[in-house]
Amino acid sequence: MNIYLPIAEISVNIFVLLGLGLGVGVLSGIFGVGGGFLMTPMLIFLGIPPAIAVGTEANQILASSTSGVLGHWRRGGVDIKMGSLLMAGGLFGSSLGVLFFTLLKNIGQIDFFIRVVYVLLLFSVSSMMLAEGYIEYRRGRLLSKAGTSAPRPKKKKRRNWTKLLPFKTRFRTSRLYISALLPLAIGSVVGVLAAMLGIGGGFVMIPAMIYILRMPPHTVTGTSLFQIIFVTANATFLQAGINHAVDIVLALLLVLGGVVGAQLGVRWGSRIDAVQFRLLLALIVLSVCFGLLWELVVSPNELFSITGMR
Amino acid sequence: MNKISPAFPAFPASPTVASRSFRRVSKPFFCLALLLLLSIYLLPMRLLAEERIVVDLARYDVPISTGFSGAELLLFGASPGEGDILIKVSGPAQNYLVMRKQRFAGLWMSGERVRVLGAPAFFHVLSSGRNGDNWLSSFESSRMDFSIKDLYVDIVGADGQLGSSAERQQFRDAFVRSQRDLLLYGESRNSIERLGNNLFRANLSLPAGLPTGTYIVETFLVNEGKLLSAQSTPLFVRRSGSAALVFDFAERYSFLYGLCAVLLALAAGFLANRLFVWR
Repeated sequence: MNIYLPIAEISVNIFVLLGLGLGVGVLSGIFGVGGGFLMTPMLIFLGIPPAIAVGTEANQILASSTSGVLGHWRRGGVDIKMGSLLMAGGLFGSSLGVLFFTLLKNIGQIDFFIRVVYVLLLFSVSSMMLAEGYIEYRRGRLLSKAGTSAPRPKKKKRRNWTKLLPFKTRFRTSRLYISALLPLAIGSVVGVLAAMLGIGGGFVMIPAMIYILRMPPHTVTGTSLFQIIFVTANATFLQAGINHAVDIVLALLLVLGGVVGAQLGVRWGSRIDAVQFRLLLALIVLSVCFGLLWELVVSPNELFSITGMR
Repeated sequence: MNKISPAFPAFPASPTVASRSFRRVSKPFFCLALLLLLSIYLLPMRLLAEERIVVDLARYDVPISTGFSGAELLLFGASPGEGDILIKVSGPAQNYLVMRKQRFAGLWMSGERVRVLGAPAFFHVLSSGRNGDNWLSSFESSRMDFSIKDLYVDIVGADGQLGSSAERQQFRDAFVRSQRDLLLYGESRNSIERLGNNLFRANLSLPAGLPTGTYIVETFLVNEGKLLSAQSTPLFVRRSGSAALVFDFAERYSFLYGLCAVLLALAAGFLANRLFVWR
């Protein structure tokens, strides 16, 4: 059964869209990732124009982050002060991202740009996950051999350049005393990425929060989701207003599949071997990355591409 | 996108001027003029009456609703006599951007860009082709725009300059190839079914990605390379139902639409949280 998407102006099988939402939803339920970095390339593979895939993904991530943040909010896992600074940076960054997106669209390089940045991002994410998974796997083996807890790898103590920045403030929820410039800068960078790539940016934001801001684990996910809501709301609003790139019908179908999938994922996630599954996810991400790279490198069958102009 | 707008020219109505000039003209002269005018109108009509081709469509509009996945267009009619039938269905004129990929540091990125201006968004030619292709090609060569090969499109470089003719031909070919692949352009010979008694019927399948706008269905009767009769009928392709509603809203009030998209996503998120997390 096909459904005509009014903004994307193509007719796609409804079950493929629901299934895609479900599949990415399951993964995000198991691993706690937003899944935008998988969904957008998949939509492009389906034939949705890249610009509309990006704009619509921002809308879908807004819905899934809203449902996710409420639980963290009740548990006190949202550092509002930190979140607001990240958000301020994020709003600036995502507006800049939409403008940059429009510019690249006008000079005809947006498709190329999206693909190249995705290849780089997916490659770095999957290789980090593979490395981490391998270390955990090794530790698990040692653990079962020795019968006692294996020693964690020692953290290197380094002089932290972040301590030298001005405008230091206290973040009570996260028990931190750092410069306000740091969350502003991180928020801006992730905001640009979010607006241009159709991602929430959680998989860039969370490592940055842990390794650069050194936030405690219990506030990381909630605060990240909190600021993602504002950034994706801004990106959705601007992408719809300036680029006409948000398809509500497509977004709702993806949300429907995604919500059910995420619940299944959360349930299954507690039962399966997390380490092996993380390796599996890394391989999935890596294969999407190589799929995109393949299209960039191999001589195309059709050298020409045609788009309608308004 | 092309909006469907009935192009009825507004005639300036001025009855007072007309009646004044009417009074000035003498009566016998007026009667003579009227007779002359009538004969000019009626004579060829009477002659052509036996030669006219008549065609009709099973429907005059194709609604594109949310469930649209292509449609069949049935054309039927009567041809007055000997000859071959040619049916041309052309969509609204549109502008396109054609880009050629180029290798840059081992990666393929978009390079040269060219604009194709005023090309029909849809173009299909059906013909009865009874006598093979010969009659058609001789007819085509006498007139433009009866085949994809002869279709006139304006090709302009991105900076407003025209490239060499060979370059332009490459872009033109690529454009036509892409439109053919999308089933938006096509030519099918021998596709008009003769039912006897001078009746004929043809079927044209419209693809899922059908552009909206006003189409023109033109039917020609040709005998020995000469055009005997022609008729044209409009066909309206428009979004209908919720698809039309969403598109128009997104197009006209894009920022309000963006706000709605944001609110809808927030509501969906709250609802999902209610339904699943707190059970």
